[in-house]
Amino acid sequence: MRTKRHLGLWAAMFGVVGAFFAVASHDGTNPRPDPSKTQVAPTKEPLANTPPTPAPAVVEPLNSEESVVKERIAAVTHGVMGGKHDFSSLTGRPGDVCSACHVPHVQAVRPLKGEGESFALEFYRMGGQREVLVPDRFMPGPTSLNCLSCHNGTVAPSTVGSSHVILSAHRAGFEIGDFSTRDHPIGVLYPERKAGYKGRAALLATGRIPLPQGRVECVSCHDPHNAAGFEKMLVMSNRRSALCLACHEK
Amino acid sequence: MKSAAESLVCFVLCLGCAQCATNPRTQMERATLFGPHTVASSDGTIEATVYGDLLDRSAAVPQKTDWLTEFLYGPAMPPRRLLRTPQGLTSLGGTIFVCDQGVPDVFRVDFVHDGVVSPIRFSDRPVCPVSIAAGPEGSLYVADTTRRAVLSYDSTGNIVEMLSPTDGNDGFIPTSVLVYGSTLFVADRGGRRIARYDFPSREWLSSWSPSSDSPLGAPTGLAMSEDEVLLISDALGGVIHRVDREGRWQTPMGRRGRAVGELIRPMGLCCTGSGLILVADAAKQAVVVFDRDGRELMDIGGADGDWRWTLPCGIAWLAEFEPQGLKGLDEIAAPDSREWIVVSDMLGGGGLTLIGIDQRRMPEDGALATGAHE
Repeated sequence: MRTKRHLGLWAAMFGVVGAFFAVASHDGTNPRPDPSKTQVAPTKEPLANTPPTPAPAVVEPLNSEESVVKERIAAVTHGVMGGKHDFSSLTGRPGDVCSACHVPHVQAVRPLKGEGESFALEFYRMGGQREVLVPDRFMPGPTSLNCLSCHNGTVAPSTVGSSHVILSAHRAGFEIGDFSTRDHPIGVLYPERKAGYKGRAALLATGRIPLPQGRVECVSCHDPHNAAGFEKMLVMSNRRSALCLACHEK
Repeated sequence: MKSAAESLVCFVLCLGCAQCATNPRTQMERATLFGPHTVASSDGTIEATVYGDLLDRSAAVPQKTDWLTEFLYGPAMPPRRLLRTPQGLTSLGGTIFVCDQGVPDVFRVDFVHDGVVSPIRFSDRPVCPVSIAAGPEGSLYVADTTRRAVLSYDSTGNIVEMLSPTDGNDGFIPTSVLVYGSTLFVADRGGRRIARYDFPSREWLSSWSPSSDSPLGAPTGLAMSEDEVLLISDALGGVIHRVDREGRWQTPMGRRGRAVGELIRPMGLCCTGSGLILVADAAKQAVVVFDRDGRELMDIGGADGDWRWTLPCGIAWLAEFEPQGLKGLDEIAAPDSREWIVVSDMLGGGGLTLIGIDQRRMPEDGALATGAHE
């Protein structure tokens, strides 16, 4: 009982002292800069021969979620622009580096007015593919199908018959020889419980190697946005086989 | 001893039942995947019936196993396919020629006689065949994007020559070929143009390039409409370019988008005898149908529908197709005006999808009637 009374006294004393300092620091004499408010520089009188500068456009401040989306878009597109996946000069849509792969859900992105409405980023889906899963077959997932819709020898160099990717869809109907050192399957479940492979949780914790729906797809090794800027659009550096060893245990 | 025998019989029965129940290759699943499905346009003037895999209906498919084997071991596995990744295709008479870069080779499907699929014994096989066209006297022209040339073969499969423009353009990458009249049209993805080869003079003519305001991003398909307008599918632009016989580029057909009638990644295209224009869209996993004037009519398949391809790439109109010789199609009372289309699915297990399209004209009283396109 005695101890509780002492604690109450100490708490009351700290509260009074804290309130005093809080009021003293916000008395208006030394205000803190508010980041949400735009700093306006003092205006100068225009010179006689110079035309008056137009008033800057009023831009509504972004809330935090919009800022996050814009930062994500900027982080993604900076690796695309000027790279191999920048088709903006070929599609007749200059400056549009997204729509070659991402197709708008609606023709014109409608304004965001409703409360709790999704952002424009979510209006874009991968080009129409839906997961094609046949129970006893491994099939390339939607992300890989989006890659293969171009990388089939027509729009881009083929990865079907002549490159290192083995489409596991062939396994069901066709006999493919042993994997050589330059072949890697896609559309297969990540074998986390198999000897020689690292755990899936540890792999995903690195945040570098995505496994869409738990499967190894094209994007597990290659970043089509080339955000990191590694050679061959890899998701991480493969120096000393680092990318290989991220999954395979030596 | 008797109880042991009874136990063995019960074990075999349970094993057979369990295998039949858990085997995913049931007839119901195959029917869901391979049709037939019927799709109609919104105005009811076009009706398409997807009959599934053409190769499943050929006489070359072996008969099913007996009931005891099926009871013990489950339904028979589908026969191993020769086709792996069928892509560009064309038809000539009663034969379909299919490019397959997974083998890589060109296969011949003789659907008039027995539906047997057989590789063409070329004297010099293509490395990455993506498109094929049949020329006069049975000659074949194969676009090879790896060798960067159009391989010309005679009717016996012997290579005649490798065609590539001699204008010093090192970036020639042929992605589609079309023979029309005495001209070989080649979609050049590297040069983003349409190259033309004249058969009589054996020389390359001046190529056709679009204007800068409507660039040709990635030409992947060629077809000639009935009014002799060259149609070019642009996989990056999501439109169908049109060039008249004088080389003038007209307003593109179609637009980019996900809705019905819009295009995302158009690959192969073909024109039917009645004037329909069909485009295989690899990203929409559908075939988009336009009328002769370029109006969108309908989508066959697609990610938002009940049925879809995995990666449709090639499409061809079968001008001389008779379904009577194929299993399951004998009893179909198809009208004479029905047009038959075949679509290659690059990742669909090596299949060629057969589609029958009926057009119905709108009479005076408003009731639909089956008939030829007006």
